[in-house]
Amino acid sequence: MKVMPAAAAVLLVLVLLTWLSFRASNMDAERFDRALGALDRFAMVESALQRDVLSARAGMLRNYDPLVREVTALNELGQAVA
Amino acid sequence: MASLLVIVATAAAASQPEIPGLQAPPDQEPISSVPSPPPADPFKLALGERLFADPRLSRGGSRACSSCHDVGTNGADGNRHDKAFDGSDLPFNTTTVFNAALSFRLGWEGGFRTLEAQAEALLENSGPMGTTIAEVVGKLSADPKITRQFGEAYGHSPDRASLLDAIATYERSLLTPGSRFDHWLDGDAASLSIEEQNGYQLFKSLGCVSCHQGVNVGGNLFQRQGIFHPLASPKPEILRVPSLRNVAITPPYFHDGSAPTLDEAVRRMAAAQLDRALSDHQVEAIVAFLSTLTGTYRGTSLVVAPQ
Repeated sequence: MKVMPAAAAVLLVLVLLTWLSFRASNMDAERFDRALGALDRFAMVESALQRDVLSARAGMLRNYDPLVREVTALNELGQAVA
Repeated sequence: MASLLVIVATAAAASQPEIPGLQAPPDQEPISSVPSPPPADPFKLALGERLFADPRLSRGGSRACSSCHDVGTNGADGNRHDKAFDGSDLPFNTTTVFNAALSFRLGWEGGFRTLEAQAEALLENSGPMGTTIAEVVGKLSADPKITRQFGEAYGHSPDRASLLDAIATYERSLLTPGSRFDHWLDGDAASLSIEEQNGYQLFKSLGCVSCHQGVNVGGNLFQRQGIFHPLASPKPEILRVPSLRNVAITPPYFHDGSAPTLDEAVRRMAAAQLDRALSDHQVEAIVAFLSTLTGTYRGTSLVVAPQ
């Protein structure tokens, strides 16, 4: 007769642990990581673009290809985050 | 300890994803060398090359992309204006397909951001090709040989996306490295004569290089035309700055093809865009420099297309 309460307790613990396990897992974690990485890269490329625009304005950057690459990278990163 | 830190820092830097925008810009010259064509799937490349010369991509099978873009000469043709199907002139001079992939926008007005979008528009435009993608896909699907080629390249029969991708893949391979100017940029000082180097210095000091810079010597910004004096046909007022790669072998010049020679084009550009009247000697020097921008395709130097 003492087996029933013990079995019920084990079952309860199992259910609790399963529930906690499901609560702890985040199915979107990888997507969030990718989005955060894209946002970090977006900020870096945006800084590079500002640097190059200022350099071009000051006559220190005479080749505008980096500006094109940066704007293209920003567009692609924006689409990746969206 | 210091060497350990260096190793860790190097490993961390190597693991960072490459971000094109953060590459340090080359600090030496405003023009950079044409790179080798990017690696591509050989099946897609072969299919794209075949499609580029396939007249089934036009209304009635009367012309192919290569009819106006002859990759055996200069990637264009020698006509001032090519003809639409109704016999009228197309609105703009045909530009060379060589190095088009290096420009940030495509077409004289820069209306296309990708080669795929441009190919789609030209196929469906009533002027150049006068067909529809659906019609082309239908014709190609009825051909077992090319359907097999699509299968090898894309794993399925012809469709809109694979058709445009194959053409764009081929166009991306149409780069012309190996010009004498690129050899000079890469350190071979003997590649340019004194006159050609003087022409390059003049090209920079006059201000031509303000718009014609970068890997394609243009092709990376928009600009108003006819600023100080009329240049050519006044419309459109804003054009994507054309590339000067291979310019010596791609006459006639300007969007309306109104300059038959490079000498005349240089003289008119200097007056219209820089308000400068160039001497004959200056024009000769700049033309000498521009002639060094002619590259090679598949190991052979490009040549002028017949008129």
